[in-house]
Amino acid sequence: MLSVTDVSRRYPRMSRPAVAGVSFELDRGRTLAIVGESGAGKSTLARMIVGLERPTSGQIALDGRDVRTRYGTVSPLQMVVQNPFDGLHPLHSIGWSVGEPLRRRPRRERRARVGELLELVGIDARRMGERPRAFSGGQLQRVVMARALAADPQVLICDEPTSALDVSVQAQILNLILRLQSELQFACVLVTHDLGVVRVLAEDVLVLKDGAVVEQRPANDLFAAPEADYTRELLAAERPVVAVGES
Amino acid sequence: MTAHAVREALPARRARVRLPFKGQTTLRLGLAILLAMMAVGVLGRVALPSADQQDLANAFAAPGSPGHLLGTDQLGRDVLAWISDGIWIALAVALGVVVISSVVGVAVGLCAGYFGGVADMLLMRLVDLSLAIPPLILFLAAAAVLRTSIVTLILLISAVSWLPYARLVRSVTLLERERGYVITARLAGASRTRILVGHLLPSVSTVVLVLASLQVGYVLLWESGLSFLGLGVRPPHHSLGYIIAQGRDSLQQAWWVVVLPGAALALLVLAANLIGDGLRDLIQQDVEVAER
Amino acid sequence: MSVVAARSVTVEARRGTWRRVVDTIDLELEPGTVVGLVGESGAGKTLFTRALVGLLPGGTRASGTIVLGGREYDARKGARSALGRDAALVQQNPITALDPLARVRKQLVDGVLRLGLMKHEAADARARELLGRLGFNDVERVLRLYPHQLSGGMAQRVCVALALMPSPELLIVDEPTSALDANVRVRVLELIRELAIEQRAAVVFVSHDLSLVGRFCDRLVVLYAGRIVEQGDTTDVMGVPRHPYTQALLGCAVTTEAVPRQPLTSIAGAPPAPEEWPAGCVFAPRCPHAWERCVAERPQPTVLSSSHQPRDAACHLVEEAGAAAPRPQLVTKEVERRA
Repeated sequence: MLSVTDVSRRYPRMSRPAVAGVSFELDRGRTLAIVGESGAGKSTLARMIVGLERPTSGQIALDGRDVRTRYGTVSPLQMVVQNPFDGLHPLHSIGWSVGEPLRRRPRRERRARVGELLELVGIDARRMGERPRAFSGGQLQRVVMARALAADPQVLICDEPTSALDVSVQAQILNLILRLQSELQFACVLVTHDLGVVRVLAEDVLVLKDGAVVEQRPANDLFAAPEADYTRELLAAERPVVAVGES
Repeated sequence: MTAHAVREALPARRARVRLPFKGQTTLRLGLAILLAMMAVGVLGRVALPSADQQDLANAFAAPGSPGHLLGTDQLGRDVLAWISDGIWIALAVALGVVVISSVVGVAVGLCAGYFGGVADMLLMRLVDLSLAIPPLILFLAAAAVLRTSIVTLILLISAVSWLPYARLVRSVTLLERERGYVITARLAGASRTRILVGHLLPSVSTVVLVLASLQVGYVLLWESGLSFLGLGVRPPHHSLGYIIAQGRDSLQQAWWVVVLPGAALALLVLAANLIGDGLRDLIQQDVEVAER
Repeated sequence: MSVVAARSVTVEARRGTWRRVVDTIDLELEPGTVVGLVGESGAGKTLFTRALVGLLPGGTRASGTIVLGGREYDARKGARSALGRDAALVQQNPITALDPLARVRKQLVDGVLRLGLMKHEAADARARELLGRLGFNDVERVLRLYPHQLSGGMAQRVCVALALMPSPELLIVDEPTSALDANVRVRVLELIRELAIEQRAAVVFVSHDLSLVGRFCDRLVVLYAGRIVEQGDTTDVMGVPRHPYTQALLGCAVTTEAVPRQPLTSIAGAPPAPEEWPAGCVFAPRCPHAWERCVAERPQPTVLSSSHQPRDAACHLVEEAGAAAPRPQLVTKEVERRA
């Protein structure tokens, strides 16, 4: 279980903290969405959760142990970044990238596992020697997920996983996340500004504004009856598309 | 008109030597010149008498004299033989310097860029220092102390040449270390070495390559320049700069002793620059294709 | 204001050989309307708009005709000379579109002054008027600011003002709000629409975001792999989409109305690269309704209504069914094929 307790992050020379007093708990198999606009502190919070930055105050623990990335140790918390072209090394093959968490294993075993993982996310394993530029954005995002899964993560942090993708591909990736989560039961922290994505994936929602928590409730409750004005504003700005139907 | 259209308009010609990099005019031109110069170098080794061979009876023979295609100097030494040796010397020094300075420069730049802190500060102060001291003074001082051989020359020129690499690699590293793939590499359990060598090094390799090819021109000129001043390569080795210096006094009567080696040097530098430009264009196009 | 039109505009890109990336697009634009150009990446929407104003990148070329400001332009050069007069472009990233070294006032006024379109006082007044209409309360203050002092939303509004200074007949806005936050996005688009209509400009709104397009456009043109697959009145197209691609696209949009934790409908596969465009209907490989004719023969647009606004869809199925609208088939859940 991931527990975040009263976490704040202050940068020197900043008038207000980037993140102030965030707390939540997340069990395996469940998804929490952190919603907010740019500058709200979502990315900073994501970096702290994954262990890349230390909070100025508060605690982040996974099963009781403090979360901290160490060189040379595969982290139980993995990240899926927004831009798949940024998340994979452009000059190495996707097989190389996906196999990174598996460096300890003998070569043959590693290759086999990489092949398995690629098939799992819907990429032809025979393409593992190709470089990222040979793939589309949607395909690469799957590769990014395969690499995250190679580490057998307990928690997956998805930072705007579909924002850089086309509409038709977004649905594919979200379906993929749903499927993988139900099979592998990792906890998922979803960082996004897109409320539609939140609706599909999240069971709990945390709304951030200027670093502070504005509202924090189960998704169903939040969408049905938002308490905070800010949440209502966000929801109003995303009126849905006219649905396909009878004329 | 685009290069494409021009090519189509010209009558087709059969080239006997096929150069790679189709469509890259600059690069191909540079390579062509370089290959031609290297061919002259090989020719010299194989077919010509040694450049040391003095033939006082034939001193200051003009180009086209029997047995001396490009003439001789005041001691009767064959100019073409000297040039062909000089080409090898120049290329050897250039290669040596580029390899050493790039390896050192890249290593320092990566560490400074990625780790920051003390290493970075030291590097930056060193760069400031190097900008303050003209390299020539350094060479003069070194020449006073050391016996100049090809190896010491290479080391000396490298000592001032590694800094541009370090600076360039540092700035690229500063950018790249924020990229997504570095973050995920850390999460995937990569060690510091692995991140530097496996991730960042390939990313800087293209810019380093371009810098190296552009630097070659400078190194060639440094080598010739120092040899011209007597601080660089001396007999028994034959440097282009040295013979140019030798022929300086008799410029009026035997212009070929200065002009022809000078032209060879100019062609080498031109080739190096064309290759450098061509590589840069090639890489730029590669980047454009990749960024859809 | 005269008609703005693109006639048989085709764009080719060179990847090895020249390949079509935008295939013979005919588009008529009415002043004072907003047309949404919708499509996914690679569909050619940006290249098409760039071709209109003669700003194609290296390695591409265009053919066809552009009608603008009472003149005809050959698409090979595009209406380049009309930029800043009859045509204007608002791009995705506002901060990079502005000169970082010049204050807002200078940037707004420079273009029209240099082209001799207005005198100094008139340009000044217009700049103030536009900024006022774009929702700036303290216009004087904004005029003195530098671009780096503006927020994303403010910068984009300044870009819109910049574009509208010469009262262009054609205004192209290319994903103008992807760099902006959700609530600012809505405001900016509302303002663009208001002003454009008032100034009687023809607006081409390029976007991949269906919900935005639905809210702010009078007409929709759906682009897939370089060609128009469907076009018409927005409520028409979004309410009763006739082309399977449009149907699928609308069906898989991720909205807050989705069922939580349930798989969404999606379109399997991805749009084909120009090298891989099939001979027949370009959407056939991904179309759930495709049959032999679709693979063999490229569909021509079937006119669906006789009103003056074109309403058509390029689909054999639609052609067979005729103008009478059958119940559109909801795209069933796709089994995800491997990449």
